[in-house]
Amino acid sequence: MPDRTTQSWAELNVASPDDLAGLFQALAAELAADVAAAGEEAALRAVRDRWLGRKSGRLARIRDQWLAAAPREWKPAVGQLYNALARQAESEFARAQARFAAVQAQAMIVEDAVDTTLPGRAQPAGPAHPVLRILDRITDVFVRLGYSVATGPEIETAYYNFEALNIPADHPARDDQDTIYLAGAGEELLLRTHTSPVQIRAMQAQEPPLRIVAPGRVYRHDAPDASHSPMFHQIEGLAVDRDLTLGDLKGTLDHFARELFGAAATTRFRPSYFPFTEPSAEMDVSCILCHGAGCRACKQTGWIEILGCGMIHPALYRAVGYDAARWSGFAFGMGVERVAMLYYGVDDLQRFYSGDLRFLEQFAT
Amino acid sequence: MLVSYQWLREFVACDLPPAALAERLTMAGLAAAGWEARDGDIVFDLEITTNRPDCLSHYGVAREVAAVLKLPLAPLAASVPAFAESAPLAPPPRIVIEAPQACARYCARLIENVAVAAAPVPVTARLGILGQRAINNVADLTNYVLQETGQPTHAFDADRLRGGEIRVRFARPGETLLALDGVVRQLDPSDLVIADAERPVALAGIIGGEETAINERTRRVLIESAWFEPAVVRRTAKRHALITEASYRFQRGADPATAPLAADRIAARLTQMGARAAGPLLDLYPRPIVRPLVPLEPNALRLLGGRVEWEEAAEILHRLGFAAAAGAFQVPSWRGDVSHAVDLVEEVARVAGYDRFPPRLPAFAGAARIGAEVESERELRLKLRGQGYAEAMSLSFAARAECRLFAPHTPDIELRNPISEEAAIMRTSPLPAMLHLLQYNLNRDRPDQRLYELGKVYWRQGEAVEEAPVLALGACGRAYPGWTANAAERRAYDFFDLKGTVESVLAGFAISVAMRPLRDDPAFHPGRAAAAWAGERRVARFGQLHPDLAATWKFKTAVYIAEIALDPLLRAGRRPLHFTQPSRFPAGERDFSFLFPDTVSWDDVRLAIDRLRLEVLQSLVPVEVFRGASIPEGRYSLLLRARFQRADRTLHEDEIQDQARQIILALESLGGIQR
Repeated sequence: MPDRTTQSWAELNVASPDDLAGLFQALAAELAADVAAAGEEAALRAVRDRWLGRKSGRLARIRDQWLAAAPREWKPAVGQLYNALARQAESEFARAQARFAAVQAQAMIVEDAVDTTLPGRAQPAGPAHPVLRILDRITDVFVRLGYSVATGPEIETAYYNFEALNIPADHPARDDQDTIYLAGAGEELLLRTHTSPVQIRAMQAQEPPLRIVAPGRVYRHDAPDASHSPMFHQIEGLAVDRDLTLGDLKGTLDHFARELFGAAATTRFRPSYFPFTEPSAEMDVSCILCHGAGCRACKQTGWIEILGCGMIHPALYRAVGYDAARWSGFAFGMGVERVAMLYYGVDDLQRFYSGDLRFLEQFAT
Repeated sequence: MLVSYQWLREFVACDLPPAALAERLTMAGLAAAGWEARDGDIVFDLEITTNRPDCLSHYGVAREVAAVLKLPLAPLAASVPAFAESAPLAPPPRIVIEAPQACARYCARLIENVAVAAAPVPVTARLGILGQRAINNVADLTNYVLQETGQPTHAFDADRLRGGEIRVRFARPGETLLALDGVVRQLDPSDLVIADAERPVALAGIIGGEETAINERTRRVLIESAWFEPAVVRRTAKRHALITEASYRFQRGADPATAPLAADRIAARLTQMGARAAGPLLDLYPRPIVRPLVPLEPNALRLLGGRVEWEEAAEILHRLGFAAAAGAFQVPSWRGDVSHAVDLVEEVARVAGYDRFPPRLPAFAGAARIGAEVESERELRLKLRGQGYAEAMSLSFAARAECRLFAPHTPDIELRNPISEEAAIMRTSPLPAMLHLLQYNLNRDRPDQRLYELGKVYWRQGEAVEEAPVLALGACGRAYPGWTANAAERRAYDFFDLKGTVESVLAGFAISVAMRPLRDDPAFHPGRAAAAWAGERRVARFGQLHPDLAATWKFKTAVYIAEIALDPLLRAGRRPLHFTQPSRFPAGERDFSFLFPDTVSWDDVRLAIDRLRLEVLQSLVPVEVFRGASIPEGRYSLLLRARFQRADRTLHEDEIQDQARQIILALESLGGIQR
């Protein structure tokens, strides 16, 4: 079929309105067929150019050659038919375009699909060290009870580590705490064997009433094995106020035990001996594994020793210049590794210091 | 301390089942670690605290049981048949206490006609139950009486003592003693010895000498039962590293009143076996040990929260052997640990039972401060964990040679009695320990690691010793875990990953630092290390471990480490956070692609632009740094992105053009060529 749009008005030989309508009908049919035949987006673009191209598109030619050249009496009719054809072209192309876009979007979705069953990727947060995790938890229990966090040096003088704590030279308690000393300083400088020196430093720095907790590293002359380490952590607590009694000590530590080990934990206090407290006690907690029934962890007793505590010895008040008649108080201290071992079921103390990621990563949260 | 239930019952009629007795003793301060049936008896294992040497005997434990259970206690006595009509074979030795400050009391009994043989079965059986080997009747009886009364004694072969003398004195320079353990001990002038007229024959209160020991030919025995000063025994026992049953008790404090009794009880038993006492007990007591009379103000009981009245307290103390006298209590001879009112209060509390004091949470008028440094540290730990670093912990000790590699000029702190050579000093750097941790994991097939440790370093500053908190980082392997679509994406952890973490740590604090390359630190790769300085103070150094060191440490992979001094950071405090109004006007961006010679660093570029002081330049960042391929040797391509914005109005296109032109000129003046 010849392309009638290349013809001039005169060549069209339009004699009647029917002629004109027939002419546009044929064009509309041709347009529809063209669009329908465009199987892909590029073809559609070519069809669109052929019909809607700005200069040489068919509709442009109709406008330029037919409409412009039509005699005055024909112009309205040609104009009407031209507009209808242009509208039809726009909508046909938009529809076709949308059809292609939908197909393409569908194709993209298929193409973008991933194997959602593959493992996820993350930069996992590093785990907190189990000992420090427990240390933080213990600290926080006491902070909630009004205890401030205090620290002291790890390299201590014999005065703070022993004398001020009522452990004079030749005191048998010094046998128990095998001490690591600094070379060339006699027995004057040492690695603190407990966090208790912080008690003295805190009392020297502050007047009562006071409540402090002192976490930190401590040192003993012990060869490393599954239950010993020359370095470990302790946390120490101290409360001085008017009229603190043994009952206040028990109430505070009983609360602590339930906060740390759960509301079902029960405690017992039995007399013990520390040079810096009197009366002194060991606090046992109902075994967290067997809940008191008896197991290997608690040596069938149902109880696990958690901490040492007692009412502050008056000798300490003398050392720091407190009036022992006016104030009373209590102190407590515990080994953090020991609690962490119980809490997490760790079998060997040395694991804490190995940096073993197979171990540490088990404490990721 | 092992305790036989049958033996205990000789002194106190206790009929509690063993479990119940163990519980009562535990709750009164004599912790029973366990008990078991042995040969028809029950043996308790009691943990006796160091302040209670009086409980290191059956009679002592019986005294506790009697007080706690309110039962009568049988008296401990001895009756030695009076010395026979015939005169002794030889006169008893003359006893001289040259050092009464070290030996307050010395009792002795000379026994004749001794036939050294096996001890009677009741004696050996009891010792056997307690795990003690039978030796002979004399030795076994001294052991028996030790277990019974807690008083250590020693038996000399009186015929082997020279010069008819016993002298309690300090050793003389150069003296030695062949002790019963077969070791020849060099004596020190602060060692208290028992000597005869010529030589030391025993280390006082610790161990006897071989040359005067009992043997099968012994006929005359001198039983020594003395009271030695605890500090003197402790010093000597420590010096000679000798812990014996005797030294264990003497250095905690024996009962001076039991000394004569123990000698008599041994003598009495020996006479039952056919020996005879050659004369009366010799008892020199030049320095009587006087136990104090301790007043107990009713106010002292306030520690017990009003749960025990004074009358009950007095009654408990009476049961424990404290005699009341007008508001005060006479401490019995066996309780050297009691000297103050609070000691009496403890006695009352433990016998009354700690269960008597109901728990309560005390009120507090103060407030808790967690402390800025503790908070900063916690925040820091959280930040590092958030960046994937696992929290690790290592010992504070180190080997000197290893620390010297990382802190060659830091005077270190040496330990007098280190655990091992690898732990001879306090660490001056946390890096050797960090490398050991990384290595531990590499040896266990964990190539991808990120670790940190928050610890301390220790050093000498002239005469003083110092310690300060330090942060160590260590990493190796891939930058990110997990699978990737292609090999090119499996990027290794590199210098910039480490630098990013170091920067983010430093950015948390109110301290301004300058980063400079670190080329002369032998521990670090000279081309891949940097340091952060706050003025004159270096606060961080970080980078790749020097390849030479990596080779000596047998690392087959690149290892990145950082050491950050936390002291200056914690002192500066956390960076204060405050809000700035973001601009309501759009920002304009411009990219610049340049070729630079390798001699131009990012810092050069940054500073060149900084110098322009472009008011509206919001940020200037490198987007891509590329070398190789089409880029000529000795040059690199840098894609820069500048962002312009004003807070008060929209920027005009020509303003941005003008700024961009200035940037281009500045970069060209550095030798850059725009692409």
